[in-house]
Amino acid sequence: MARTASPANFDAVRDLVGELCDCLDREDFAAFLERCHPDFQYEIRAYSPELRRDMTWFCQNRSELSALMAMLPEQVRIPAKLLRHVSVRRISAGDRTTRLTAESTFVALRTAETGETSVLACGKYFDEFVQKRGVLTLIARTTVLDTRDLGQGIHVPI
Amino acid sequence: MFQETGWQKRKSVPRTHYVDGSIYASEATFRTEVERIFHRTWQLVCHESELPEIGDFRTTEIAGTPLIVVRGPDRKVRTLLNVCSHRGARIVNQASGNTKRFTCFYHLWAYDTAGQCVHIPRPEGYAGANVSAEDCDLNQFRTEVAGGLVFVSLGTKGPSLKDFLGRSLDAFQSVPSGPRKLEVFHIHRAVLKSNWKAWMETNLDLYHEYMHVVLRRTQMTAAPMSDRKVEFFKHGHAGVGGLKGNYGNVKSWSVRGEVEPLPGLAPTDFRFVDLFPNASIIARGTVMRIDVAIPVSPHLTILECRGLGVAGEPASDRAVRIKHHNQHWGPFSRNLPEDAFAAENAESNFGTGQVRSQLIAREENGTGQDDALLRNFYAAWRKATGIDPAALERRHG
Repeated sequence: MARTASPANFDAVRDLVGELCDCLDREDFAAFLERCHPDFQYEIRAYSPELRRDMTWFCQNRSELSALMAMLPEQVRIPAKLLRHVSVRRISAGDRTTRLTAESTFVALRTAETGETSVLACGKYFDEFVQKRGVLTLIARTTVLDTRDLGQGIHVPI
Repeated sequence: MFQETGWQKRKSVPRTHYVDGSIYASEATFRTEVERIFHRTWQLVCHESELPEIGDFRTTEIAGTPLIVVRGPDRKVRTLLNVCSHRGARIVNQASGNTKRFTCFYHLWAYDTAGQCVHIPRPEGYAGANVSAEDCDLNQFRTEVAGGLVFVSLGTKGPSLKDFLGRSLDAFQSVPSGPRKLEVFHIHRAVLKSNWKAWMETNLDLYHEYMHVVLRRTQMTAAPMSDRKVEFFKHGHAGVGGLKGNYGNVKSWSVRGEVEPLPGLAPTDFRFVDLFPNASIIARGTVMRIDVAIPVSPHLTILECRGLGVAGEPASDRAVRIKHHNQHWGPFSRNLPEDAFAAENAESNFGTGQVRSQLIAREENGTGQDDALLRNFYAAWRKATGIDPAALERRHG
């Protein structure tokens, strides 16, 4: 059975989840990846009621994600910004105190250049962190989307 | 007021080489399209792998007509109107499932998988009005399967599916109907603020590959433009052969050698066929995409996209194939959001009537980035609707 993390680790995890959202909201992907472990894996999943099974919509490791984000300036995109509103629901430690997991809910809001805001997506983050020499890094994030109609779609991690 | 550009003022461009912006915005044109195209032609509604077992069903719609596609005890796939014969309620409200009968939630009228009304609670109450279960079967529509693709026609007349498709799927003959069958692993639907034709144009417009950074790197230089060959088929279908992809030209992408390509394809092959009016079948070596543009209104379209891999393959192979799919397609891919942006962006001008017309005038002898696919589409559209898509004189009065 997973143990509850210490209060200090709890705060560190909660702070890091918030920082990661800030980085993504600013589209500062270098800062996002700085907070990720070298073995970082990022995945976006959704359940299909049509197929009655889970689908993987995005699966990248750190270097793959870095390469895709480097290509962003050349992609044709909606001129808009995202704001991720996140709430950490629970944090727990695995067998090793160096491994922590967090489950959070999120809502991503998109604000167009005209100032109009709409809900883009909601879902959950299932995060896994590694703590080494007092430094906490994200080693895995699985984003499970409730929202499956993403309109045009997006080029960045949600 | 429209600002005419030079080619519009000269009026020397052939009428087949431009379309009037009003064809995207007109309510009357949309109603004509629904009646004369979507209620008459064969429509791709799902893939056979979505209905593997007896009793499996999927719900969908064709231009607003709600449907249940179901595999019966005889393994035959049928399509039923998803509207109760009693009070018009939607009978099935989930996307998929397995059942022996469909029971309407409202008054518990029930239908079997062939659409026969098999139960009416307290039927004696209808005796005075001469209504019995035999009078209340669900409407059933022509349904046929070709190469694993399930097609439905709302019309009672018209060509058989075999005649409708002709040789259009020959390029994929070894893929969907070969010994190693395909199955759907990805499906997503998105409502686009766009006319359905604007979406189809992104699939028909070879010239638009300039928009995609990924295609500039992987496709435009992968094979000589002269290798490309546009091919036309009966009933407005068309395809292109000779396209290639050098996927290794994108940093962190592989050359797609880590998994078997789809049967009959090389890893670098890129083929596509557009089935008139609203379906596209696209294969990139290791993976296939099928998309359907379902019209909702002149300014709204449901885009339904599927990704397909080889049925029964090991999980490790499937994971690679999904990765390849997601590179170009899917809501977080590099290409599909750009196509959707283009369709919605153009709509923002078509829809308000600010675009007088658009050019589809590139001629490259059926190679390179010829607009022949677009012209072929609008020729079929004109034949079906009876509307001249280049009817500029309507604006001039």
